[in-house]
Amino acid sequence: MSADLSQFFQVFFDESTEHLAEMERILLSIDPHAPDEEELHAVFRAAHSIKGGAATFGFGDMASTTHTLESLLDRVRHQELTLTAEMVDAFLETKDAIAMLLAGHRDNTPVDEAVVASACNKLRSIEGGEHHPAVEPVTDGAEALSTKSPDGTTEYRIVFTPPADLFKRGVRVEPLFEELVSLGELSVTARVEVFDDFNTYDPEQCYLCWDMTLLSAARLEELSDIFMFVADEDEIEIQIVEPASLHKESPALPETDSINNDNVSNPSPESPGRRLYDKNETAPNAFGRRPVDGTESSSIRVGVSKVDQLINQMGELVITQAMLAQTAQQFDPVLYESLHRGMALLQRNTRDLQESVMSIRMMPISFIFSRFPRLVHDLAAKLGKQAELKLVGETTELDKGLIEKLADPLTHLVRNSLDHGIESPEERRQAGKQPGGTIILRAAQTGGRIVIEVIDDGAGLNRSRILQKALENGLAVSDEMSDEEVWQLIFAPGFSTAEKVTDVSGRGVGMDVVMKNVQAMGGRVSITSESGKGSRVLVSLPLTLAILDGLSVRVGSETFIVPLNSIIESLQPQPDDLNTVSGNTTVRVRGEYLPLLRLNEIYSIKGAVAQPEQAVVMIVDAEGEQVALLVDELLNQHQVVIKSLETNYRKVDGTAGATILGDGHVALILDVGDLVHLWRKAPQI
Amino acid sequence: MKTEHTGIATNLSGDWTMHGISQQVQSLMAISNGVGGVIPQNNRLVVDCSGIKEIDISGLQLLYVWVQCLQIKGLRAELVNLSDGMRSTVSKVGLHKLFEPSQDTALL
Amino acid sequence: MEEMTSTMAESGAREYLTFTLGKEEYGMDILKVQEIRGYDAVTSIANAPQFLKGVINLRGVIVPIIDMRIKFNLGTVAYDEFTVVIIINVLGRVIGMVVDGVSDVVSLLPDQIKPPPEFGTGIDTQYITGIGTSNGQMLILTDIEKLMGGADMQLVENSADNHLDLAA
Repeated sequence: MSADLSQFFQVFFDESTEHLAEMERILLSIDPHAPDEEELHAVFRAAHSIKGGAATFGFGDMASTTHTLESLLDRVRHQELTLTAEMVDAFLETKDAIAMLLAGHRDNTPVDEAVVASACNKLRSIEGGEHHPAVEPVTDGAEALSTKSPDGTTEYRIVFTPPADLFKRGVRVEPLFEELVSLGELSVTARVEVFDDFNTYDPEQCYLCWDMTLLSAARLEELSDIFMFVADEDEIEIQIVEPASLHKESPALPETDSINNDNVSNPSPESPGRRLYDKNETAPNAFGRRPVDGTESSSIRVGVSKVDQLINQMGELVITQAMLAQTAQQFDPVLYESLHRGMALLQRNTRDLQESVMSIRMMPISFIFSRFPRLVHDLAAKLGKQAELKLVGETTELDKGLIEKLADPLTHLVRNSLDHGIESPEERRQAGKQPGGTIILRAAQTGGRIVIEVIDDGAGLNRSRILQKALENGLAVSDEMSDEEVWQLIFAPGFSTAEKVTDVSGRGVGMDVVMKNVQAMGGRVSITSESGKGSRVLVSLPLTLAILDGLSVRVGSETFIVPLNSIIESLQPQPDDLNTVSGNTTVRVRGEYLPLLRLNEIYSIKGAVAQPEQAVVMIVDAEGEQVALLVDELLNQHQVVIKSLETNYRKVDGTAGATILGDGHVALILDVGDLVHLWRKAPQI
Repeated sequence: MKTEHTGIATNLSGDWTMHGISQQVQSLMAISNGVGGVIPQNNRLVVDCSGIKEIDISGLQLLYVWVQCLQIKGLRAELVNLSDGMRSTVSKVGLHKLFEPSQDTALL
Repeated sequence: MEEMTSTMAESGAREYLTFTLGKEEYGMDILKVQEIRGYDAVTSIANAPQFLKGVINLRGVIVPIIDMRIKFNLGTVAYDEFTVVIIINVLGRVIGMVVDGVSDVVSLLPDQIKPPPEFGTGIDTQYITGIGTSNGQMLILTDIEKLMGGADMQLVENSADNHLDLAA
């Protein structure tokens, strides 16, 4: 994408995602027998917006699919068509198809043509109209000229009117046509001026002009680039043929039987379309530059192992670059200016490359989140409960592998919330709550990890019942256990306090499988709950290949890395701000007392600075809670590659992997949230 | 392939690109002016193109205009024995419709 | 050499890397050996068992280092330029083990191997596959993969570990 348009693309993607979500929300909540007028208008408007944007940006497949949906919605809202439940399902299916196409354009994920075709066919049969081959996937390329295929190709009308001195200028046009042919299906028609007297003909003048139709997946900029050296803006006119109009008119390519034609040196454009490239507007810009982004919105299937290899090698590169950077520091910046300049450039390039490589495997979590509104809708109905689902942070990206593995555990947690958390409407009313409950699914990236929360405003966990059940199961429990410890009990195998086993959840295999699955991903689960108010299940996962921004710190002779996003501030405390009670030290920061975690004690490191007022205290954020870490010294800010400890060893508590420093040594990367858990387990520290 | 045609009236040859067309014009002009000893048969002028070594858009334009002018005079010129290279250039630049074949000679 | 090994494979001979721990010679399946290195730049891991010295950076991969001498109470524990670390591939992982020394690669036929004794070896007998003799030398043949997978090694997490949290 050229710089001009790409910023609008992203806005279009984001807005369309919202429109699609809005459409689904409304369609899910609408009553087919008594549809709310306002809601019908809203769905229509959403579809209309998507269609318009898709057409503008040349996403022909989205535009045509949305157009069909939009016209049906239009008829429904004007009461020309009665809404039925089947239609709502068809609309939902179409919305899914459009979402898939959108994702294909945005993320280059593969698009299942059959799904799109199926949705469109359903719409067609509702319309009662004939099948328009235009909307089905094109199998025979020859027909593609006048039809629209949903695979992201656009039809362009190109009119080329070269100046008379084209030949004299020595410009060769043949390569031009070759290039256009290479971009797709090209149909060329040439027109020549009419002469009646051969004697008036000047062979060195050009009397030709061309009218072409190109069906291509290429972007507008690529086309205009082809003509860059050949023609001025005056001489080239490229239009995108709007797909919708194809249904209304036959292909509008003017026939050129030019022997019978009269003076046609200035052909007029006949087919409708948005003129996107016109005189003095977006002229081809940078000299010789082709758009950086790929031409296709289609994808390439690449083996996962190849991608992983690429990611690993990228990680190595970052480490090597870091080592180089460290070595380069020894060289005097003035004497070795070009070396330092080169190193800075290398750093930037490496960073850009790293981001691109990382993004290959990263997908937005909306991929799994998107299934939940439907799930909640159906399940709540089944259970006779009312619940609304809110999704927050859908665009949070995580590794594709994690997404796949997260689907099942998350599903279980959401079902749990609905089944055991949210009470029935009567119960809720009796408790003074709104009859409908709310479930929030939230995802965010913090401190080198992905945090996903399932929050409900239901009844919360029943502490006594859990303790009871644990006792029955022979687990060692006591009333003195903290709430956090009691909630952890439900992760034991075979544990379930459900009085009757519904087929939804509560078979007792659920939570421990969730825990196992999450741990297998290198993550952890924690629960907070308040009786009568609700519960929150927090799943924290590592970002695979994280190239983390971290601060290296020294404790004794060991180096640790603290993720930069966890750090709030660092300070050297005054003796007055420190307070030690029964072995626990707190630090006063702006009126608040934060617990002090002594890293040297947690990690049994000898030779560290014992007195906080002579060391450094780092205030960090640990899953919403602020704590203070005691370290000897702050060292440097680095970009570090998270190397797995679990691969060959095992998870070390309090850490999120390790990294290899510039000097080749291994340093542990602290996971502040986990560190707090670790610290709490042995409270004497 | 050179196919047998009855009554080939004239043979075109040489360089029909921008560099050479000014020369070619002369011979064409002679024919269209009715001089140069080329006699049409039944108003039909069969023009053998196999000798054309190289031709580009300017050459094709020239040929086309010439054919057109002849037609206005009531003469039908038929271009035969085009080399593969010439055929492909004709097609590439979208002039194939202009050189649409008449009934009995295949240009494409 | 290749011819020899193929005939040996046909006859059931296997190759073993021999290493010293204390006074005794041990043998392990050569196919599990990735490389042999010196002892260098080990980052210690807190609260790990004594025999787990820490981890190293092996060309970009984090590898744990286990000192066999500490684990099995054999030999003198010293770290100098003669200290040898055998990098092995077992259990789908890469692990380093510190030994006193590495000797040879020895090829043994089944009839050169006697069944393991009931007791008397430094390493737990459940990990010993047999006693081999080569050139008059007695080799204690060890199933190194089984050894590394044992619960006391604490390398492999089993579900039993999860419940440690609850008991706390």
